[in-house]
Order: sequence, then C-alpha cells, then structure tokens
Amino acid sequence: MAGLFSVISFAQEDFEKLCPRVLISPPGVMSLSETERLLVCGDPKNTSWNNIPESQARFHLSTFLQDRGYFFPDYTSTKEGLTVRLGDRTVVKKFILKNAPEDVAKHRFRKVEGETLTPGLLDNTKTRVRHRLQTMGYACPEVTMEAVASTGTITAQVDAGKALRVIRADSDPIESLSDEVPHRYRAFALGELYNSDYLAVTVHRILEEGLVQSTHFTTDCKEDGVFLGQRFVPGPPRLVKIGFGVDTEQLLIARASWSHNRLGKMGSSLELMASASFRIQEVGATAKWYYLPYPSRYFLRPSLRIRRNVEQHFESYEGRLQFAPGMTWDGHHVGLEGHFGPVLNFVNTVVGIGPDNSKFLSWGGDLAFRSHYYEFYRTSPQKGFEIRAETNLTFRNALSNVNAQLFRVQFVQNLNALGLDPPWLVMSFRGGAGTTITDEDATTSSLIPVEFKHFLGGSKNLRGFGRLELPDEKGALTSAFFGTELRFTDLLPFNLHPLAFIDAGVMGRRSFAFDTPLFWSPGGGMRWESPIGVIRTTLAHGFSNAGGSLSQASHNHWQFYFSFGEEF
Amino acid sequence: MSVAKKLFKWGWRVSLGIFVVLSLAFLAVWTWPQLLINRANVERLANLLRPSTDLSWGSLDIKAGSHSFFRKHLLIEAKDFCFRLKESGVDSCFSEVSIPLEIDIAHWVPHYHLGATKLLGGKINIEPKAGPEEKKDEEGGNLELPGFLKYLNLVSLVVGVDAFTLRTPTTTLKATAELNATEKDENIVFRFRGTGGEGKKKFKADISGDIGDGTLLALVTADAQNLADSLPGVGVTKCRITLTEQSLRTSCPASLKLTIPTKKPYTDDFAALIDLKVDLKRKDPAFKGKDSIGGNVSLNIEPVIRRVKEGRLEFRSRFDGEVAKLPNDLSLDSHLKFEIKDFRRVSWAMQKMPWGVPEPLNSLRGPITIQASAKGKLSPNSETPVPLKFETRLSSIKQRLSLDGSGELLLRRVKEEFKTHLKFQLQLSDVRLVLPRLEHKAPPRLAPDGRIKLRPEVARNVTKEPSFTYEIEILSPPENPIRLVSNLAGADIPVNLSLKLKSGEPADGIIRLGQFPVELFRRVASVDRFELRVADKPENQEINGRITIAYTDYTIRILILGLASEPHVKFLSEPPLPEDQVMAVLLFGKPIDDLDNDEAASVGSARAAVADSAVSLASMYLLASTPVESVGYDQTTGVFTAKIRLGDGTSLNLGSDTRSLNQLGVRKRLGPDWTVTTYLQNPLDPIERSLTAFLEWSKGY
Repeated sequence: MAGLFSVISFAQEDFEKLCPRVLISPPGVMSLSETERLLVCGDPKNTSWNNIPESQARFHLSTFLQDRGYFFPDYTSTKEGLTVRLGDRTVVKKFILKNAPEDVAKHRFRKVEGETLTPGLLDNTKTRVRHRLQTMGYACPEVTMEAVASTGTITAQVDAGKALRVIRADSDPIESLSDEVPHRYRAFALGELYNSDYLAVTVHRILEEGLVQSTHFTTDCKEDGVFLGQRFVPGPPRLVKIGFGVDTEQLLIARASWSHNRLGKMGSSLELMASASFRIQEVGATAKWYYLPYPSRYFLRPSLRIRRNVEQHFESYEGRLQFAPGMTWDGHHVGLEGHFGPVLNFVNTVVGIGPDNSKFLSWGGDLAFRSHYYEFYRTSPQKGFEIRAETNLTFRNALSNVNAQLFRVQFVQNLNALGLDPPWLVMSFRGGAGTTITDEDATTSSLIPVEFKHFLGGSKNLRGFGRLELPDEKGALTSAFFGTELRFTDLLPFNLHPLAFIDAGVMGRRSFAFDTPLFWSPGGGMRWESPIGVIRTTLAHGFSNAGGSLSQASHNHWQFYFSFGEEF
Repeated sequence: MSVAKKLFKWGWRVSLGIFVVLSLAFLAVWTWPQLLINRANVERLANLLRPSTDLSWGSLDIKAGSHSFFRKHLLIEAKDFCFRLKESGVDSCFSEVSIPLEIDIAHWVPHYHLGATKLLGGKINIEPKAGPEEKKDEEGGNLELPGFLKYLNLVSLVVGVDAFTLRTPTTTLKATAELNATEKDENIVFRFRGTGGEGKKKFKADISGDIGDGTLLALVTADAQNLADSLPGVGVTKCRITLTEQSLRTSCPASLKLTIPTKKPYTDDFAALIDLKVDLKRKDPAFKGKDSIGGNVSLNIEPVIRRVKEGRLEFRSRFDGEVAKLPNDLSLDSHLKFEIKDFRRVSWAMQKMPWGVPEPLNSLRGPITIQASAKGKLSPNSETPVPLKFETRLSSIKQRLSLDGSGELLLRRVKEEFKTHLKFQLQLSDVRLVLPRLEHKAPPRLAPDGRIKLRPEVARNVTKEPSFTYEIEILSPPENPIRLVSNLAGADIPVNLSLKLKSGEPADGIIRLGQFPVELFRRVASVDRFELRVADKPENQEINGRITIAYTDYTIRILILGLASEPHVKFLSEPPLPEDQVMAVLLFGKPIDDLDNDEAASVGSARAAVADSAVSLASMYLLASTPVESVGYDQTTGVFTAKIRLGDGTSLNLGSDTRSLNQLGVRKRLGPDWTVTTYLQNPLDPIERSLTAFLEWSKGY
C-alpha cells in the first residue's frame, strides 16, 4: 500500500498527501478523480484556478467526501497544510417511508439500513421506492428523499397519487409492419392496473423475438388513467449470429444462425440455425408464421431439425419436421403459450436400444403456463412460477410402427423466502412427472424412439447424477422428480450466491408405475452474477438404494456441473 | 400683657444663653478640634453607625488640632482599619492608613492640603446585595470634575489594594491596583495601575495623568483579553483623554484582535492602527443637569488587515443630543468609507482563513470601495436612511470583475429595538471569469447534496419580525453580459443574469446563456440560448435551452425544457425527420438504416432515457461531446448507462448504481457487435430445453 501513495507521518499519525497542501488520514482510503483533484489541489494549467485557498479546498473536499459517506471529517490547518481526518463513514440506521400506500409501506426494503449514507444511496433508494410504487398502479409517483447524517436517518416522502389503470396504449408504426403487430407481445391489457414490470416483460418479449432492435414505453398519467406510448427503433430485419457457450454437460457449444424477423406485414419470422457440441450436433430451421390477415396471437410453427445425439447410453440420428399451430395468451398476471401439431420423425439409433432407420408420424405439443414475474426474473430467479405440459403421441398404423404416447408435466416455483427486497434467500422448487403409454417393453423393444423414453440426471433435474445417466441405457417409461434449492443472494460479496439443494427422483420401466430405488442427491454450489452473465457450479452426491428393481448398478458418486447462463 | 412680656423676656434670655453656650462650644471645638475629633468620639460614632456600617481597627490614632484660627490639622493613623457597609455589601480593610490633612479656610473656601497619605495593604470585597432596583437618576451625566479637586493640594497619595474582589451572582472579578499621586506645579500628578480578571478574562490598565485647573489630562494604556468569544483581544495604547468642565476629548490609538465566529473560529490581529477620536462638548454650560452635548467621533483604521498592510477604514460622525434623553435624542451625521487598494493582497492574507476568497476570484487585483453615510435621529419610530455604495474594479490577465452597487440601509428604531432593511442593487458591469478545467468525464458534484442535512433541523419560531431584512437585486447589463471562459466551449459564454434575493423568500430570477459555439456530436454546434429560472431548491429550477447543429442536408435543433433535475429533451429537424433518425445522426453520425444492431439498440435506449428524463444534464453533455460507443437504459428501474470513448483510447462507463435492480438482463453488450446473450436453448425439446449463455457476434442488415 505504501508504495501506491505518498505517506507522511507527524503527530504520531500517518497521513496521505492528497496534494501538496492537503493531507488526509488514514492513508489509502480516499482517492480523487482528476477533476476533483483540480478543484481541491488547484490546476497548474489554469492560472485562475491554481491557488485554491484552504476554505475552498475544504468545501470541495467536504462535497466529495459526502459522495463517499464521510460527513464529519475533522479539518485542521497546520503548517504542513490542511489536514483531514476522515472519521467514520455514516451508516444509515433508520429508513422511514412517509405517506406511502399501505402495501408499499409494508414492503421490506433492504440495503438501505446498514448501508453507507451517500447521495448515490438516496438516488438508488428513490429509484427502488418509485419502482415499487410503479408495480402497484402508481404510475407517476413523486418521491422526495431526505437524510440526516448525525442520526443516520433516511426519509422517503411519497406522493403516490392514485393507483391508475392503463386506459390507452398506442404504438408507433414500424415500417413494413401492421400497426398492431407489437400488441401480441403485451403482458398487460387495457383496464388493468399499471405495472411497469409488465411493460418490461413486453419489451423483453419483443427484443427476444428480434422483432425490433429497441423499444420502450412512454407513460403519461392522466386524471382517469395512464396513456402508454410505445416507441421503436426497428434496426435491420435480418440478423447473422455466431456464438459460443460452455457447460459441463455439453462442454463447448458453438452456434450460428441467420434470421429474418419481420417477414410480411404480420411480422412473421424465419430462423436457420446450426449448432454443435460434444453431445449434440444439429441444423434446423424454424418459422413463426402469423397466417391470419390481421395481427393476432395465432401462428403456425413449421420447423425442421436434423440432429445427432451422442449420449452416455445411446447414439442416434434424428430428423424432425413439425407443422404446429400455436398461440399465446396473456391474462392479468399470467401468460400462456402453446403449440400442437404433427411431427414427421426419422430416427436411426446407432448405439443403444432404439429404432433403426425408423420413420413415423407423431403429434407433439407443448403448453406453458407462467406468471409474468417468472419471465421478469428469468435470468435472476426470485419470484414466479411456470407449469409446462408436453405431449408426444404416435399411433401404430397411423404412419407409425409403434404405439406410444408421452405425457409430461413440469413446474418451477421461485419464492423470495423472507419477502425482503432485494431478496436474501431465494427458495426454489421444481418437479415433474411423465409417463409413456405403450404396449412395447421398454427394456427390450427397439421400436420405441429415444424421445419417448424417460431419463433423469443432469443439471436440469437430479444434479448428483450424470447427464441422462438414470436409469441405464434402456431408459424408463415413467419418471418423476422433485428438487428444492436454497440460494443465499446476499451472504457473500461480489454477487456470489452460495446454494444448497436436494433433488430426488424415481423411475419405472412401465407406464404409470415406479420401480425402486429412489435416486436422490444432496449438494451445494455457487452462482455468480458476473458482468457477462450467470455462471453456476454445483457439486452433489448421487445416492440410490442398492438392490432396487430398476437398476442393479450403483450410481452413487460425486457429480460436478458448470454452466453459463443456466438457472434452476 | 405682662405675662407675654415676661415670656418673651425669658425666651430671649434663654435663647441668648443657648446661643452663647453654643458659640462658646463651637469656639472651643474650633479652637481645640481634638475635643470633638478624638478616638473616644470615633468609637461612639462607630457604635452609632453599627446598624448600617461596621467600623473596626487594630490600632487607631487620631490627632486633631489647630495651627491657627483658620488652619486646622488632622492626622489619622490606623492599623488594620476595616469598614463594612452592610447595605451596599462593601467590605474593606487596609493594613496601614495614614492621612495627614490640613484645612485652610482663611479665604472662606476650604483649601485642603493632603500630606503624605497612605492607604496600603488594601483588601476590598464588594458583594452587592440583591434588592429592589434603585431608580436610576433620570438626569444625564455631568462632565464636571468633583469640585473639591480644585482646592486640593497634595503632597503624595499612595493607595495599594492587594486584593479587590467583586462578586455578582454571575461573575467574580479579582484585581489588584496601585495609585500614586503627587502634586507638581500645582497640579496633581497621578498614576494608576491595575490588573485583574475573571476566568479567561484578563485586563490590565495603566493610567497616568494630571489634574489641575479643572482639567484632567490622562494617558491610558490598557488591554483586555477574552472579554467575549469574538473579542479575544482589545487594547488602547496611550489613549489621550482630556476632560474639562465643558468637554471630553479623546484620541485613542487602539488595537483589536477579533475572532470570526465560524464553525472553527478564526482569530487574528486585524488592525494595527486604530485611531478613535471623540470630541464631545457641552453646549450650554449654565444649564446643569440637562446638558446638551455635541461632538465628533472619528475612527481611522489603517491598515485593516495588518499582515498585508491593506485596507483603510474611515468613519466620521457628528452627533448632538440632550444628555438626559440619550440615546433617543441623539442626532447623527455619519460617513463611512472602506477601501481596499489591492484585493490580491487581501486574498493572500485570507488564504488560510475560514472565509478565504475562493478561486477564480482570489487572483484578481484592483480596488474595492464601500461607502455609507447616515443622517438622522435615533428617536423611537424614526427612520434613518443610510445610502450605500459599493464598487470593485478587479482584474487579472484573463478575468475582470467590475461591480457597481448602490442602495440604502434603512435604520428603524421600534421601541428599544433597532431594525434594519437593506435595499441594494448590484450591477455586474464588466465580468469575465474563468471556469475550472473540466475533463470529458463524469463531472464531480460541485456542492453538497442539499437533501442530506448534517443535523436535524430545529423548527424556528419565525413569528417575530427579523431585525435585518433585505432586498437585493443582482443584474448584468444586457449590452455587456458576464463572460465565462470554459475549456469546453469554443468561445466565451455570454451570461445575462437577473436575480432577486429577498429575506424570507426563495431567490427568484433568470440566468440566461447567450449564443456561443460548442463542439457537440462531432460538430461545431451553437447553443442559441439556455435559460435557468432560479428556484427555492436546485431540483426545482426550470430550464429552457436550444441548441442548433447544422448538417449538410438538414439542421437539427435540440430543445431542453422542464426541470434541471429531470430535463425534457425534444429533437427537431428541418426538414422534419423521425426522432430516431435524428438521434442516430447525433449519436453515431449516420442514418439509422446504416446502424448496426447495437447502435440501433443504443438509439432506442437513448430515446427511452431521454423520454423518461433519466439523463442528467451533465450526462447529456458528455454524451453529446464525446464519441458514444453504446447507450443502455433499463426503463423499469430508470437505470441509464452509457459507454463513451475518451480521447486517450479508453472508454468510460456513465450511469447509475444498478445494484438490487437486476431483472431481465438477457443481453449484455461487450463491445461493437459482441454480446453475451442468454437463450432458451431447444425450446421444442423437453429434455434439452435449457437456458444457456452465448458469447455472440452478430450483424444485422
């Protein structure tokens, strides 16, 4: 430390030489920006500002120290210059919300009390209080912040106004698109209470879909409600992307795509994609065709995928051509998204039990029912739920030589366990159950395609086991799992979130029937919200009761996972 | 009749007898005063006085006698002579008393001849008793010396008080004093020396002079320390006092040490040469008791600031009034002039003081003059106008500060209280100031955040009218505006100012920037106007600005309106262009169709942030004055971020604190065309579906 700054000692105390005539104690704590330094120490390049008197240096320094939480520095004029003893940082002891609506007043704001008092903290707290109000219908609240340093008190004086409903929402036109195309992404409806988070979800959906490069809402509060305006920066409609991802399940993942996101007046899209990892290599094309002659939430989803899977128990080549009608719907706080349609499949299993060069028709679909807050917090889960139901049906004699119908339901629920803002403990639950109804024997029949079989293991369900390790290479016809995770979001510095979890699952070789053993895996891990995305690692031990009817092999072992971007 | 006659006869005889006896007695006492003035009678007198006064002594010798019929002598010698006045609380003892006195009444007026008089080893203790306040003598003071001093001859007088103590309920003052007086050339020459103090308060006085022919001449050298917190030192050196029956005249060179009561009080010797002259005359000597006085007071201080020998203060006042009615009857005609010849010296002297002249003013040189004059009476409910003038002619190589102020201070006396009201207009006649050099980085906070108070504010009772009120108008002439020099502007920034400051009301006025060129958005733009309406709080200040940027094919105008804390910005163009097109040109210098995805997204974010008034004026300036790499805005949280490219090749992130506010961060920009994007991988595959983040390069077309 001493090498980084000039330290001088007198009166049995160490001081850092901030500038020739300003000494500060303790050393190494305070650093000034270049412009701050000019105002405290003088500017040798500016003759009108090169001779800062002590009183002015003190004034500026006091202002800059405020920014760093020092409100009661002790200044002494000595022959060495102006000496400054920083004293202690002022810590907020009490946060008072005045005149706030009852539901906001009860809100448990953290990271105010116990924090260092700075103007930045006031700004941040104001933003948080405003944000909270804006999620509860108070679209244009006024929040005035005040603080008293000697008592460590922060007061937010709230003038929330009335809780308002959205009574009008207009969108700017997007060139070549019908005016109402953006409406299908709305997570809110006219007449509902204003919630700024739902505007964010809407923006997020549009950006994720790639419809435009940027969009935002303007909010205009009127006496009887809120007028929303939506503005766009369309950007180019065609996009080429090349990217790389990484996790322990697939190791390095490379992905390239070309997409056109504003096809036709209704804003249909087409994406051509190729990706490759150690486990999976695939090429595909997916379109989302809004076929109706007016903007709507109904679409047709043709997709083609050709893939090679290299898994622990099997290796297969798959071709899949689907033509699925789909739709989206949004209610008060929840949304629905689903599609269902025929799938023309081609499967060639080269390793493991599965069909060789099999072509068959199936009917597949997916229905997701989720809260808007699940979407809102998707990359930093703390609230919301999702329930997803999937099915894949194939019938013998209906362009198929096997009779198999897969049904699967999964859910995720995230809870802010103590109701604190920001959360301190996030509790998550997830589970799922699925079965395949077939007259084939799962252990011996090579007619059942792999995608109709059930496997567990991996970061998505049982983290104490390898990817799709369970039950064995033969797979199962029934599976269920449940996992819970506790994530401490403010226990460690640097956005490191330690987590503890336990997952458990059971499987069965027959439809609607489970066999022993019970597979379970306790473990822990770390999640890091790095500046470039979420990095997650887990270490868990898989346990299975020996001697079960499903598998004789022991699956007891340690399992480590690393992922980039993945969440619970 | 005969009875009446007899009575008269007897009465006459008795009266004559009494007269003869008394005359004989008086003659006897006159001839032998020791018959009356002797120790026994003094003891009797002490017993008689005992209810109000205690007299005691260790030894007492009183010798009275006659030198002749008209010359008497009295010698009082005592050891440990004490007297105590019970009502007034005076308790005094002298260890040695010797008073040889001769009285000569040959000329019908007693002449006193005091021999070698000694009052030594004095211990005086005064502790006034609390009681009903004595009615003050309505009559004013008398300028006369005590009459007997005219007929006093003195051989010598020595008074030594070893311990003087004055106790009041609030203070205890202790002092020692010594008085020596002798007669020389028919004058009494005296010298008094005393020291004393109470706690930190100390004083010392040395007074010498002579009294003769009804005139007292005295030289006073005295100093006092810590009389008040703000007055740690005050003194006079050889202050000449002349007191006659008709006049009082003083000429006092004084020194003054002042403490300026700031948070950390600052003490310094301010003035080395203070000359206070008081010339006071009784107007009608015959009319005793209701004297009218008139006189002059002049005060010259030069230099005012001793360290740099700078500053001159002149004060002259003529006053008249009836002594008995002072101060109500006092008429004043006063003039004050304060001059600084070289302000730079003052700045230099004040460099280390708590109120040092701040930059960029402390390098200015030149004169400052303040003048005031007052003519009026201090009677209740009277109003005395005091015209004021203020002038500066300061300059340096790059700066000028010429101010001309004029106004009036209205002195009003309401009952016993003085009220003052200042009405003043300050014209900024010729002002050119250099602003601090600012870098193209986040500007620092220039003043403490007004939202944060150091201590709880105590509610003040404001029902009482303040004793000082003001109305101050500050303005710059439209034809010669203030010019501010900034490294960020291509030329001087013209500023017109019109401010009104009124006590008890928030400041009101407009600060108006005139047209000046500035480099914005990689072009020489013109700030056509920028107005700021001053308000009670900085966040309530209204702004109104217009900037014009000329391009080959079109002209873009930026309007900045609303509150300074949340500016509303409007982008207009001629011919009209969509707002995103205007922002694309401004931020990236090309049409929106030529922008890559990130740039287009940045334009959208900038539009959203500007629409929500989420960009501070300072951030807006930085965006405009430096090449922008990207702009991000989270509308949910109001968090604005921007990455600007600095001249040295580095980038700077501007923006708000984003902690606790993380939600939909699915796309994080790393650089031009590079992002980390989180995808829902394999959305149609129930087994493979997962969130995965990709380091991604993308290009739109």
